[in-house]
Amino acid sequence: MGLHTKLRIDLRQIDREMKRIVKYDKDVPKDSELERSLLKTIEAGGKRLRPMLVLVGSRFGDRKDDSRIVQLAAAAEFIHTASLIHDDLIDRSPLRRGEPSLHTLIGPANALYVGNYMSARVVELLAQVEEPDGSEQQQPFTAVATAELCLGEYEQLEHAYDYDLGLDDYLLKSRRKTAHLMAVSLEFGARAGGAPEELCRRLYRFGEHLGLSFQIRDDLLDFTASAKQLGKPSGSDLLGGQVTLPVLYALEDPQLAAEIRTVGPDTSPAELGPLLDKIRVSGALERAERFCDAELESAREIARSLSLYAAHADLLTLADELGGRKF
Amino acid sequence: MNTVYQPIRYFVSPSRGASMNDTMIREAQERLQAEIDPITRIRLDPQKAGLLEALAVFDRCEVEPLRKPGLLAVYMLLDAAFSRHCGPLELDDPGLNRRILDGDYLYSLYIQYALKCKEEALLRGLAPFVKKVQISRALGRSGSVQLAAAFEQALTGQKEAK
Repeated sequence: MGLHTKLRIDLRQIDREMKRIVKYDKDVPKDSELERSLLKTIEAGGKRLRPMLVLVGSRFGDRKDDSRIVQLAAAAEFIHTASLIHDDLIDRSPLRRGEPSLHTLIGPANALYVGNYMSARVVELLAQVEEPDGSEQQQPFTAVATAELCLGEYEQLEHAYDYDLGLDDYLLKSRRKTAHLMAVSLEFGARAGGAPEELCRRLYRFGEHLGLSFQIRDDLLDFTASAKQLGKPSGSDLLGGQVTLPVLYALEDPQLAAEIRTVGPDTSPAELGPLLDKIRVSGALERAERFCDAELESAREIARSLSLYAAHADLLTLADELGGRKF
Repeated sequence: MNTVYQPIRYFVSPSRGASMNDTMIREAQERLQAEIDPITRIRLDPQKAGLLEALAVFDRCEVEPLRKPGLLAVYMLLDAAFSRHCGPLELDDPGLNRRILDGDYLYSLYIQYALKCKEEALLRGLAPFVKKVQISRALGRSGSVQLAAAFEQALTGQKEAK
């Protein structure tokens, strides 16, 4: 049973809403390359984790405007998708989920503008949000203030192949790049559902722990999942200069560290194979796994503290499912 | 005896106006540079002509003096975000990553800073314009961005709504 089923979420509804956001935009010419690219990107699918977080967050409130919440959930996925399109350009990734990435299909400039359109369209949609009391609030826009996400990217660029990276730097980058948007999605959903402010903040903290464990799980999968599961060769993060948590732990072994430090922009995937095997048996993966579990446990603690709300069970489901994911 | 207070009217000579504009531009730039995270290494170097055009728009829309530096900073951020993503992009360009990231960061900061300056209404007013610029670019129509005109429209809309 998929995560969405366990959370009682109809993902087709999210996809329909995403397409509707494009098709109902009278400024996008029908059958233009822009419209086709947007629809193709939506149809390519994805985990739809951020929309699920928005919907789960909204269950902590008492406002029941389902169509509005679904629109906000779709908007959260637009923001995430826009960042993926730009990430693929930055990483020069030819593939996304095993299919050609958007920039390989329509060129780098047009792919960049497709991503920009998605962000701008979300701001336009949020600009139409009216609070129930008729006032104009800042809250909807904070969800698109993704400066944190960009700072995570800058950190990643700055520290590519930097084997002197500290644990704190790694955690800061991961919080900014991954955990923040997940936490904001949950908080955003809760606010849209009318949850009290203190509860929204607790949900943000839950999302931050969940997001960090999600990133560490991603780091681990670079060593444990198959190329087919990942949609890219295993070891791609290390090859691309990303110093992930398992690599940080492996660097504590002087012999392994000497080998890891030879990995640079010119290292080939074939050269990397034996080093990946050594990291796999070094104990570094188990230590990263324990860190991941500790973050999940912190998330579960927050979920359990919210047991007065029926939706706390959905938070526990999120922690269980994302903690045990295989790809 | 009743005293009737008249609003004080300053006569601003062209040179005095120019110096006030320079001060305003400098203040806006300093405020922004303090907002930009050092890791980005972004230095804003806006075209003065564009900023003077924006200030003229603010005057025409009767923007209160205290609001102007923040508004000008918002203008500078959006202008810089547009320009970082403008023009041809090649995958083998070593500066490509910086351009993408800088444009994304400046756009996010534009939203964040506008909220900080309590300019939500302006954000709402500019949202359709920003989107249309991205659509035009995605469709290969590389016309110049009429940012000052868009600000004028948004500010006029705000004034009329009051």
